[in-house]
Order: sequence, then structure tokens, then C-alpha cells
Amino acid sequence: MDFKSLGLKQQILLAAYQLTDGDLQKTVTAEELLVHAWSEDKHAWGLRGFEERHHDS
Amino acid sequence: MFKELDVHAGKQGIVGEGLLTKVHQRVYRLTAAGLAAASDLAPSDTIARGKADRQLEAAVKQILEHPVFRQWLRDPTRPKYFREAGHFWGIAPGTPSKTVRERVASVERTLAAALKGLQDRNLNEVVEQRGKILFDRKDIERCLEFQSVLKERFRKELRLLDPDSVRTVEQVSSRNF
Repeated sequence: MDFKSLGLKQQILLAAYQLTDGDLQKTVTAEELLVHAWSEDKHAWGLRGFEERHHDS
Repeated sequence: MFKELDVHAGKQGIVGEGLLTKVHQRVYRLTAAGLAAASDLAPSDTIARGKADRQLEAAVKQILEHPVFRQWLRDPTRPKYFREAGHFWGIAPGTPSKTVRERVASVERTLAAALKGLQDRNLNEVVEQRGKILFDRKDIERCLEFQSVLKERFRKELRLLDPDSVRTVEQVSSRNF
């Protein structure tokens, strides 16, 4: 399954799953979700014009 | 990111859909329904699938064994008071409106995800390792009926706690992720 082929909501959901390892007791911050999603799909979550270097806040 | 997580331009975010729950400001946790939806994204990942199934089964069992639901099965005129329905949903007067909405929706999401899981695998029941039936399709359908009855019976109280709750929950339950 290709992370980039997913919609934005699905990418966040998958990021949450990967960061928590499917543990429903573990929490995850919005920042962790963003950085993880950006590392998997820089063009979807990067700062416009700087997609490869910075995630969008 | 926050557009996708929270309500934006009238659309439900992932939290509103009951797939993640907001624990604190900018802190989230996966729900059983969210875990099931995440495992659907990677069907070849059997570990994820197994984990999602176990978590979902535990969440469904907790709902089906709730004393308020059991009472209704014995006597459909129960619950008579909102505090009993609130016990089932995990809400009470003073609960923030967003939390009310999420908790009521999460019951439906969990049951709907379990029903979908059974349909996808063409099963009628979920059996635990020792062969005991944990729950079947009819249990879930009955509990979804109970949820509708509760929402209708306590519509006024729900509206008071969250003026958008009844409308929003109906929208959420009719929308597929």
C-alpha cells in the first residue's frame, strides 16, 4: 500500500496507526502526526515552495 | 492538518467521525473504529488486522454488556431517565458539547465497524478462541436499534447538551469514511 495514494484523512489515520502501533491507549500529538505524514508524503504536507525541506505548520 | 482533524467548513474532521478521539488540546488517540478503518487501508498487514479485530471486539463487548442496554433488552420501557442513557454514552449534564457528540457517535461507529467486519468476512458471529460466541450480527443490530431509541427518547436532553448533536450524529452515521 502506497501512503501517497491515500487521501489526506486516510494518511492521518494511517500515521496515527503507525505512531501508536495500533495501541488504543497511546496518545499522539498533532505535531507528531504532521511530521510523520510529511515524511511519507512531502508534497501533500510540505510548506508551499519548500515542500522537500519544511512541513506546513 | 487541523482542517482534517477537526470540523472545517461544515465538514466533520476525523475526530468528528469517531476515528480519533481528542484527549487534550492537540493530543489524540485512535478509537477502535479508527483502528479498524486504518487496518482496512492495509489489508495485507495481518498483524494490524488481528490487532484491530481484537480491539474492536473488546469495544463491542463492552457496549453489548453495558447494564443499561441489558435492562432495555429485558424491558424496552427502560431507561426512563436521561442519567441512565448518559451512563451508557458516558455523558452527563455539563459535558462539553463536542464530547457529547463524539461519545454518542463513537457508539454507532464502533457497532457499524463491527457489522461491516462481519459482512466483509461473510460471518454471522464472532467466536473467541475457546469457541464461545462473543456476539453475533443480531446483537449488534439490536444495539444499534437501542441507540436509535435512546436518541429519540432523549432528543430534548441531547439537544440541550449539544444543539447540533442529533443532526450531526445522523450525518455522521450516514457517511462512509
